[in-house]
This record gives sequence, C-alpha cells and structure tokens, in this order.
Amino acid sequence: MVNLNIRHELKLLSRNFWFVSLSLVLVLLCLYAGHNGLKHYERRTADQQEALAAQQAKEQLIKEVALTLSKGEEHPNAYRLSPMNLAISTGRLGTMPATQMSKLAIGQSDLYTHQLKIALNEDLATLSFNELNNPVQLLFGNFDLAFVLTYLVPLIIIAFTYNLRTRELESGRLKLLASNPIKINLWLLQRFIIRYFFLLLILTAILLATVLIARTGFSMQLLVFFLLTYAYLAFWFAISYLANLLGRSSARNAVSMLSLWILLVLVVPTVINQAANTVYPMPSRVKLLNEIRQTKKELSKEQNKVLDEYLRNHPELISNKGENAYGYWQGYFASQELTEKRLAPLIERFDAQLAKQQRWVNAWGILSPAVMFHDGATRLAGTSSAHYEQFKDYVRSFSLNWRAHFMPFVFKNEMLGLQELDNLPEFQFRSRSRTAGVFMNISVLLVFSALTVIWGLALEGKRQLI
Amino acid sequence: MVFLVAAKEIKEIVRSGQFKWMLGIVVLLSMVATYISHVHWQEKNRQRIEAANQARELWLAQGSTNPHNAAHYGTFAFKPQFPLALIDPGVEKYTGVSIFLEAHSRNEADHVAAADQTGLSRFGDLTPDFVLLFIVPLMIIALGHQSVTKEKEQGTLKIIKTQGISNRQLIAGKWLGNYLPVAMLTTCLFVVAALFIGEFDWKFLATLWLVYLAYFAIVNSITLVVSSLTNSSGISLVTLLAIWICSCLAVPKIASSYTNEKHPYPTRQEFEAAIAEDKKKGLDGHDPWSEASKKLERETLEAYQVNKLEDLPFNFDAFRMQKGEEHEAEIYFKHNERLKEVHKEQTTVYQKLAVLSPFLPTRFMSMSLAHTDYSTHWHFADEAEKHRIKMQEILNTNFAENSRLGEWGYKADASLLSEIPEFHFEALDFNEVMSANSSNLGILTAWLLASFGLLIFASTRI
Repeated sequence: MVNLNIRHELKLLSRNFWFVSLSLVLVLLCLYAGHNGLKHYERRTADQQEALAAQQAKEQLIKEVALTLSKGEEHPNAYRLSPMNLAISTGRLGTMPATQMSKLAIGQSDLYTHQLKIALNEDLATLSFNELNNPVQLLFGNFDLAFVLTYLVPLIIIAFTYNLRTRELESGRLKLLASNPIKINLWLLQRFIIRYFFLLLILTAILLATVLIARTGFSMQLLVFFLLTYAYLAFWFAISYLANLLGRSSARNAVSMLSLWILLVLVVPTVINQAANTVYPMPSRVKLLNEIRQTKKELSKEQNKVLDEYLRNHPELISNKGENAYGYWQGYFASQELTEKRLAPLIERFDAQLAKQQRWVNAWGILSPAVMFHDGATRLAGTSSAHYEQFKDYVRSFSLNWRAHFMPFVFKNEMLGLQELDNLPEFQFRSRSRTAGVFMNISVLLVFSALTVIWGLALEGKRQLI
Repeated sequence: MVFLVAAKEIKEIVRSGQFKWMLGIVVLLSMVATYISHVHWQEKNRQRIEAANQARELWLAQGSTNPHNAAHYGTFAFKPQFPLALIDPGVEKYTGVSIFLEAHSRNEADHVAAADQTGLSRFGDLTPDFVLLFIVPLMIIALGHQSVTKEKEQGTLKIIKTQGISNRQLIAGKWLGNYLPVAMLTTCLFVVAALFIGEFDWKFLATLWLVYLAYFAIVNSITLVVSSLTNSSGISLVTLLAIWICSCLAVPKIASSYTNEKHPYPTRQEFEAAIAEDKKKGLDGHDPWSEASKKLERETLEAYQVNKLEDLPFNFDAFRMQKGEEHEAEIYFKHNERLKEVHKEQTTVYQKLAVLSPFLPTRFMSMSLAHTDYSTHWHFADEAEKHRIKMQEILNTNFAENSRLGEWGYKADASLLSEIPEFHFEALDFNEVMSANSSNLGILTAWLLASFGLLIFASTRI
C-alpha cells in the first residue's frame, strides 16, 4: 500500500504544474535571500576589518613611540604614553565578529553595533550599542533565509496539502477508497508523510544550494538549522493533516489554514510581544538621564570626600607624594566609580525587566511555531538578542578591567613603557551559539506535530469522515 | 441598479457567519491595539514631559557658574510625542527620543526603544497601524474573493445578467457592497482613536483617514479584479493571498535589503572616527598651542590692531572657544549632510519601489502624517543642533565679554542660564508634509486609478 501511495504521489506532484513552478519560485526566493545574507555578512566583516586596521595602526604608532623612548631618545609624541591618553584616545576596540551562520538569519544584527571603542572615561550607564541605521529598514526587516522559511514556506505547504482528503471527498473517490481494507486516516497520513519527505528533499537541495552560494561552511550549527527547519515543516504538515480530517470542503480548509497561518505567524507574535511590554514595562530611560546627572552633581559637591572614600576602598592606589598628589582625573575616576555604584540599582532595573520580558517571551513563544523557529534560527546564527546581551555584558566587564588596569598608572602619575604595552588587557569576544537550547525548540515543534497527528489518527471512526 | 447590487452584497456579508467572526476579530484587535497604544502613549508622554522639566530644573540649578562649565554640563532636547503616533508609531521604536546638548560635540539621539525589547519585537507591535495595514486588507480579501466567483460557481451570474444589468454596473455594485462595510469600520476606528487622542489637528487625521480609505479601495479593486478573472473561489483566494504576502511582507523587506545594499550607511564607529579625524585638523577651543589657534591669534590681533591678547576688548580664551565651536559645528554639519544624502538616496529608492506595492506609499504617508517618520526625526536632530549652537554662542559670548584673558574662574550670573531658551520642537505643518509626500501621493493615486482601470477591464471578462 505504501509503495503504491508513494508512486501515486510522485506522479501527482511531478505532473502538477503549480508544484513545479512554485518550487522554482522557492528556489529563486531562497537564493535571493542567501545573496542578501551574504552581502550583509560581507559588509559587516569589511566594516569590522577596516575598524580593526585603523585601531592597529594607532597601536603601532604608540609602540614606535615607546620603542624610541626605551632607547633613551626623545619623541614629540611622548605624551601618547600617558595613561590618560593611552586609555582614552587610543583605547581598545571591542568587536563582535560575525559567524558564518549569520548569513542565514540577520536577526538583530542590523540594530546593534559590532565594533565599539572602549575608553577609560566612558560612562557604562549610557554606553550606546546602537548602530547608525535607517530606521525604515529596521521597521521593514530584512529579506533573509529565516524570513523565507518562517513566513513563506508554510504557505507553500498549505497550498499543497489543504485539499488532500477533501478533494477525494468532493470528487467522490473517498467512498471508493473507504471500501478498501485501509484506514482512511492512516492512508491520508501516508500521503502527508510522503509529501513531507518530498518537500523536505526539495528544500534540502535548495538550502544546500543557498548555503553554497552564501559560502556558509558546514558545521554543527548548520546541521541543527536543517533539523529545526524539518521540525518546522513537520508542524505545518501536521496541522494541515488535522485540518484535512476536520474540514468538510477544500475551500473551507484553505480559509481555515490561512487564518491559522495569519494567527500563528502574524498575530500571536505581536500579541506576545505587546503583552511582554505591557506586563513588564521598561522603566523610563529619559528619567534615568536626569537621575545620572543628579547623582553626579551631588558627588561633585563633595569631591574631597569622594576621593577619600575611593582611596579607602582602593588602598593600593594611595600615592606617597603628599597632599597635592591628586588632580582632576583622579577625582574624576573616584566619582565615576561611586556614581556607577549608586546608579547600579537603577541600571539593574532595566536588565531585570528585560530578563523578565525574555522569560515571558520564551514561555509564551511556544504558542507560535514561527516564534519557535525564528528564535532557534537566530540563536544558531549568533544574531539573537541573547547574543547581543552577552556582547554588552562582555564590553561592560571589559571596560571595568580596562579601567582597573590603568588606575595604578593614573594615581601614581606614571607613563607606560614598552613592556607595559604588551600587558594591556586584550578584548576577545566570540559569540557562542549553543545548539543545546535550539533542541528545545525542535522538540517543542516535534511534540506539537506528534500530538496533532495522534489526535488526527484518533478521529478514525469517531466522526463521519466520508 | 448599482445600489441594488451593493445592498444585496452588504446584506449577504452582514448575514454571513464569516463576516461576524472577522468583524469580531478585527474590532477586538483594533480596540485592544488602540487601548494599549493609548496607555503606552500616555505613559511615555508623561515620562518625557517630566524628564524635560527635570532637565530644565537641573540646568537652572547650576546657579552662578562659569559659562563654559555650564556648556559642558549641558542639557537635553526631548522629542515630543505627537498625538497621531497613537495610530501609527512609525519608526519611533527605532529612533532615539533625546539628544544631549553639550559643548564641542553633536550627539546622536539616544535610547532606542527597540534595544530595550526582546528579539520578538521585530515581528511587529499590536498597534492600530498594524491592524489597518495588514489585517484589514486581509479582511477585504476574505470577504471579496468569492464575490464574483461564487456567482459563476452557482450559475447565478447568468440569471443576474438576464435582469438587464451591465457587467460594469454589476462590478460597481459588488465593489461598493464590499467596500462600504470596510469603510464604515475604518471610519469608526478613526473616530474611536480620535476620541482617545483628544487634542489633534483634524487636517492630519482626516488625510490619514483618506489615505487608508484609498489603500483599502485599491485592495478592494484588486480583489474584485482577481475574483472576476478566475473561475473558482479557491484559486481566487490563493492568488489574492499571494498578492497580499508579496505587497505587504515581501516587497517591503526586499526594498529594505535592496536599498541598504545600494546605499549603505557608514557604521557608527566609522562615522565618529571620520568626525574625530576632521576635528583634529581644525581649531580646538581648548588647545591654545595648535597651529589653528596660533593662526586665529594672529588674525585677531591684526583685526583689532593690538599687540597683545590682553589688550583685546574681550577674553580671547572664550573667543577661541566660540571659534572652535563654530568650526566643530561645521564639521558635524558636513558629516550629517553626507549622512542625509545617503538617507535621501535611500528614500528615492524606496519611492521608486513603491510602484511595486500600494503598501509602501500608504506606509510612508501614514508615518509622515503621524509625524513618526524618519524625516521628522532628522528635522528634530537638526533643530536640536541649531539649539545647541545658539546655546554655545550665548554662553561663549557672555564669557568673552565679561572676563579677561586667562580668567577661568569667572562666574556668570545665574540669570545667564535662563537666557538659554527651552527647546521646543515644531514638526512640519500640513502643507509641508503634503509637499514632502507628493511622490507618495502620486503613486498612491496612480495605484488607485490603475486598479480602477483594471477593474473596468476585468468587468468585460466575466
């Protein structure tokens, strides 16, 4: 029976003009999306290389100055080795390199910056990670592979499965089929599974072509990405299977499947997002600005006390050069640390609220397979919100290291030498795209699919299905 | 005759269970969207007004201080919330709301709301514009896709034709019958939104309402064209949905990817580095030893025909500060103009691509009328910069006129601070908005006419 079914389906599909032409459209869409992803990746990488090259040139210059000085000679730019100049003007460049997989899902990578200068005097509370961008582009989003798979592929599935049973019903062949010794639900399931694997093969070929065009290397992440795509396809096939069993006519099936698509892909994600913002509203950033200024002002009034308190906390920085050892910058850093300490609870409120929103989104996201898929895809691509949160955290903690490294020089008014230049903290951030979390998404999608199919099978004999 | 057909269509629509469901969903979604938007709008508005007042208080509370210290202390320019943002928040989520105004540097607007949200926010928000732009067209398609095909399928088309109605009249009636319920619903939505908003300029709201009505008319015509040209409701529906997906989802994304590839923005880091590079070459108000400072010194001494800086009738330090400020402002202007060039090029590409989908001109006009588009943001950034330059000028002039060379301890009277006006931002007025949108308006009209033309053509083919 299965063999017969397979042969029948293959014949049907290969002779179906619509199926062949839509598959071709899908090829074009995927290739174009892959091209966009590749361009995005190339630009991001080129920008970063340029920034890194500029930074290296700066650092090289400093090294040359240090080299000259170390030979006992003079150099007109000797001031560049002062701790303040080095830590602020030269600074460090924090970078977030693009992963190969980011070609498949652009995700949040158009919103945030991937290279950022870290300087000693930077306020961590107001450090901006936003990229310069046309907001219209952010509003519309990108035409990447994740979009094609999330939004468009389900529609193709709907187009090829919405009438698998009802068509037989409408043409009267279902009764003929029912007279054979086979369970109708099982027969239909076979047809769905055959079509599923057929589409899966085609899509795998298309995806492989896209991956080759986008020159994404093969990796564990890519494999999981394929699995995630298969699970997402399975969900839509399963839902369509159920709709076929419950629906009375092809037209109705089409309408209900499309309504479901609109609901799951379009409406549910926006509702979950809106709900997250409403249940856990962000505190006011604009208010924070004034709170920061207020705190700074209060601290500046008691400048002497601030410096005393700071030195009490950092006895290693105390200089033995007497009363007037400390100037403007020493006071500045003392109050910077105290400001940050005082503001920490306010800043944490934002992080905590965002974490709550993320938890809410993760919990309710299972209501929409589109969210599950998109979330998994961006996580594999290293372009999810979580990756940017990691980057932000890394930058902040690096900034603190950077500061801590320079404080002894600042307080002792010492210049840096050749040797010290080699011991500066290095910025090394690599996005970790863990596949473990994505397996959760895959399982959710598969469990939903399995439950739907079981439900469908259990309907056998319980309803007037013919 | 036309009205008879329309009346029959409306009656049928109203009686169908499908319509009740859809109406229920659309009304529920729009009510929830309007209510939530209203709550968020009020909250944000309160926060901004509060922050603006507090910023002013902090500014004034500096008391008697050195003018240049005050310039460094700086203050903020806040972008006001416009009433119609409640209907269409546009790109507000992706642009900052406040700009820090300080000496020596023009800052970018900060606090982008999208950065404070989860990745899900990129799927969109449940706001009235979402319902109007995406959901209502779907409703039109769902109601109208079978309006002609059903007559064909049931064989009633021939019976209707025997009644002496022309094809054109029949289609016109169908068009009206399908359009009126949607138009009424839209009108109700706008009235409710207007009640929520309270204070607004009716010209903007009325135009916004007309723009959406035109958009729906286009969708309605296309729906009837497809329904007339196809023979089965199923094919009609699938074709229409494919058109909907292309115009509302695919084309905007393709436009955005294409535009960004053609005319990319520099990265923030690149932009800032280029400005820093230019600044280094010129006059730095804080650096009296630089080449540029020495030149300014010579020129000033010559102009006033004195030998020493001390003999000048003003404080040269402050004068140099002001000159440095002017030079820096020029650099910022130059670089921002370049950025604006890219923005303009991008806008032109978007406007050209608007030919591909009626969604795009509607989207752009809607944002523009609600003052939540990118141009309004640029306008705000430019106004804030003008304010900053004016502010520096007042402060530096006071410093120069009332102190002597090297007198860094000089403190101006506290009244100087209140001489700096509060920042007020006025968005473009109605005529300016409309002339800026002439291209979008033209394309929307062209779409409207073309869709009617197609409808007339289709009516000959049933």
